[in-house]
Amino acid sequence: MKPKDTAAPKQIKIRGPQKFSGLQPARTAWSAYGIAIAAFILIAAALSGEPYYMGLAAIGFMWAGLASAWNIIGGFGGQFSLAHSVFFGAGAYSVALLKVNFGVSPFVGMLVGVVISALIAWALSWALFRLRGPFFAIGTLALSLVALSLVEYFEWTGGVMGVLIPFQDQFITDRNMWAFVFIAFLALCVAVSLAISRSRLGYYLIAVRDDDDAASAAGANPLGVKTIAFVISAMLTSVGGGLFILYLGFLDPPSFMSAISVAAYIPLLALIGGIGTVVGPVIGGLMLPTVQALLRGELAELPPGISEAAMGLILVLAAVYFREGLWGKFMKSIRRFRRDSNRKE
Amino acid sequence: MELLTILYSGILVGGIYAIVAIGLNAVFGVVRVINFAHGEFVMIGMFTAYFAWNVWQINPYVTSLFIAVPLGFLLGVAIQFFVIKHLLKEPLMQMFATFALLIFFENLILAFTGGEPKTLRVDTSSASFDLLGVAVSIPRLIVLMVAIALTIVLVAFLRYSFEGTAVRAVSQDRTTAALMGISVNRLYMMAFGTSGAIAVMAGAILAPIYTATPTIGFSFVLPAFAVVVLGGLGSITGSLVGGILVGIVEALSGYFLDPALKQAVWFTLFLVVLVVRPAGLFGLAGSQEIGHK
Amino acid sequence: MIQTEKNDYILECHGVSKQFGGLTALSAVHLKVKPGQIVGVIGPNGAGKTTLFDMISGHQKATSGQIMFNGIDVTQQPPHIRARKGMGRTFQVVHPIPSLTVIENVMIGAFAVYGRRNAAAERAHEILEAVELGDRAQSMAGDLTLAGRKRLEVARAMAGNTSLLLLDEVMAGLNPVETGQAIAMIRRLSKRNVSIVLVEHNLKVVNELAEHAVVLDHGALIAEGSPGDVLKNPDVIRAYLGDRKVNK
Repeated sequence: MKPKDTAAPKQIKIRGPQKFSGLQPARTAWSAYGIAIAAFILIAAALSGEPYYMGLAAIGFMWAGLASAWNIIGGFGGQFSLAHSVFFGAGAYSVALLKVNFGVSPFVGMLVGVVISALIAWALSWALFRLRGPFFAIGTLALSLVALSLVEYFEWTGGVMGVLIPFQDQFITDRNMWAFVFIAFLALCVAVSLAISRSRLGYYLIAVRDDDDAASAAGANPLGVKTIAFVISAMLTSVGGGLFILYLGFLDPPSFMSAISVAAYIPLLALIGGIGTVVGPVIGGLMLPTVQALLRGELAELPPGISEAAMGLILVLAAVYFREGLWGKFMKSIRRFRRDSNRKE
Repeated sequence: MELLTILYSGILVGGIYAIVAIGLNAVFGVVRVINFAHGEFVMIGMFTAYFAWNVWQINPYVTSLFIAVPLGFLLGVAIQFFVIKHLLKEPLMQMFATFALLIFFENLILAFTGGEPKTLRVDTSSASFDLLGVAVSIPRLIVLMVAIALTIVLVAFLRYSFEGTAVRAVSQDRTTAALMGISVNRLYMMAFGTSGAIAVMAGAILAPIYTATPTIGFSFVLPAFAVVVLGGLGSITGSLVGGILVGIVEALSGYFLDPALKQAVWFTLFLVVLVVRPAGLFGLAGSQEIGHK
Repeated sequence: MIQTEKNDYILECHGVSKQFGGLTALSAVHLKVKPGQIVGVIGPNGAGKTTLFDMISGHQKATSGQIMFNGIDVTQQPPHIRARKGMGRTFQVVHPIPSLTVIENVMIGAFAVYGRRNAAAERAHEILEAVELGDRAQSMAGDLTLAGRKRLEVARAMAGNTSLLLLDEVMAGLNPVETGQAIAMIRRLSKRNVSIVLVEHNLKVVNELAEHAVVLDHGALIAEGSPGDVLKNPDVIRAYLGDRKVNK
């Protein structure tokens, strides 16, 4: 008979799945979620009236939402997409063009954007998911560049100048409201992310990501599962794009679809926060743009470029010393602490 | 007549793509690291040549051999030693780190030069000669010649030398190669060093052709990756042929379609090739799976 | 229980062949497994045993031939569809999902039948108890010993409503004590009305467990019958030991 761990007897009593499975119960997970959202709302309320900080908050919440949405396919699915600028842009252009050319309400515009993004994601899935690892990254990067070239080329998308939404047509004129709007966006993205992580889809994604032969032997459909994740991720990103154009009031192609500031930026946020977790991308999305803005402010007297170079250096150090992201490192130390204290018993 | 002009310009631009891609292949093909900062090395080469010329009147072609090569080698080794070495098991973080390096270098140059584009004018800058009735730009021809020479040297090195075989071994299976006694770490440093040397040197000889700006690095990097993948990972010849092919396609589409769509056209073609034959034109079938499990 | 002619066998392979370019990995292999049976597939290295499994589970497409599972032609179906229909499979080199805990690994299999997380967790726990891994439910899959991982792999393959279990060299790398435990576990699983096909190098194990054995050599079926008969067959002995004089 093999020796049993001394810790085992406590775990075998079956009182509900959580006791033996170690899985977080629904109440814990969703309560944590609710508390976090409430905290964000309180913070935004406290900053009300300070346009600079409200602006930082709004942008931070937006990026956090975008990073969470990306993480669904990039983290859970393990597919490092550098094409999310396409969906972000699709959402923005749908809202802007429909509003400016046909007077269509932004809600409808956003819906159209969501549908278009879902279709693009679905149509490209089969081709894109044939590519592994770095090839998927390069392929999606090429895709985002093609998309940017196209929108800058065609007249009806406004060409290089983009689209301007006249002030009287703007959706929300009270700048303070935007922080709360983006909190709602963040709440949506995290809710979807959390729900997926606790569902069959989430587990299948992780299994397929780690080992798709084993996953398919167990009943998971690798292509099907990745496609669903990609589509959901695209739809959420598109909503973000629609909201951002309404926030800015103008759409210049590079701000929405550039490779460096959007397509590669969003994955960066997820990575630095902790890719593959629910919390990580939120942390990355809140922190990085804020730190960047503050750094820019602090080093404003120095020649242009110094603050960004400093940011670059900080990011390099972060990559080397926080390999699994900030949240990942935090979780690892907790797990090690728990394991060490278990061993002492 | 016009077709010939386009063909020449395409081949010559292709030579530029090729030389940047060859440097990238040294790293991507061997270490499987996506080095987003590769274009920055090229940019550093351009600025180095510019300053060497303006301050000390050193000819860029002299700079390229005597200053650029050692500088690039050191930079490459430094990056492998301080950054990449720690991230060998984390391919995503590698991408992140090299991307952060891109941001760092781009903005460092921005801070130093104040964002002013720097143009280097040497006697040979506008020199050209006549081939079949159409002008061929000499600086660009030099770039093409260097690309071809590099290809020959590197292919010979990989196939016939002992170290070259070690490089090929490591690029296919680094665990086994290490078990065979190959110092993987040292090899990676050599690879990065070589990649850096090629890139900075390329920048120096590109200085007479292009105006140096801080953002020019990124505009080189993506085409370089596409050419490397198109030509086949690890295949130097593939990078050369791929680069020239891309140059020709780009020139043709600029003429027949629209100059604004040049890049879009060949990137789309690249995507098609990638999906149909991920190993690239000259790569071994299935080689895209190697090295990243 | 009345069974029609078609459903007499839970698994049927008719003339299954696999070509890799010029190399013939399998040529016209026939295999029939009755419900509840334990069948052993043996043969020297490179005989094509794992390739045969890949054909059955769908991880590779057969060049020609037919695979029938529960009377249905599944030859064109991808692996995950066959898994959901009740085919479970383990791999020669174990594939635990490293990011997940032991119980979550088994849940991946359970999700084929149970859509909700809690139900899948219950089912996973039940299966873990059956393979004696219950007390390691919360460990990370990577922390298990080889024997543990093999049991985990079997558990994951069993967690759906599995009626056919394909075990690829599940004994490889186990010491005699662990092998004995594994044999006992397989017997227990068989009693749950699961048909089992085993690829095995360990001929003693095949002798103990299998009611029927099939021998492959260079991709072809060279013998079949009860393990005792098959192991005495001179063709089989020659396949294992080579063409020199065979000792009687």
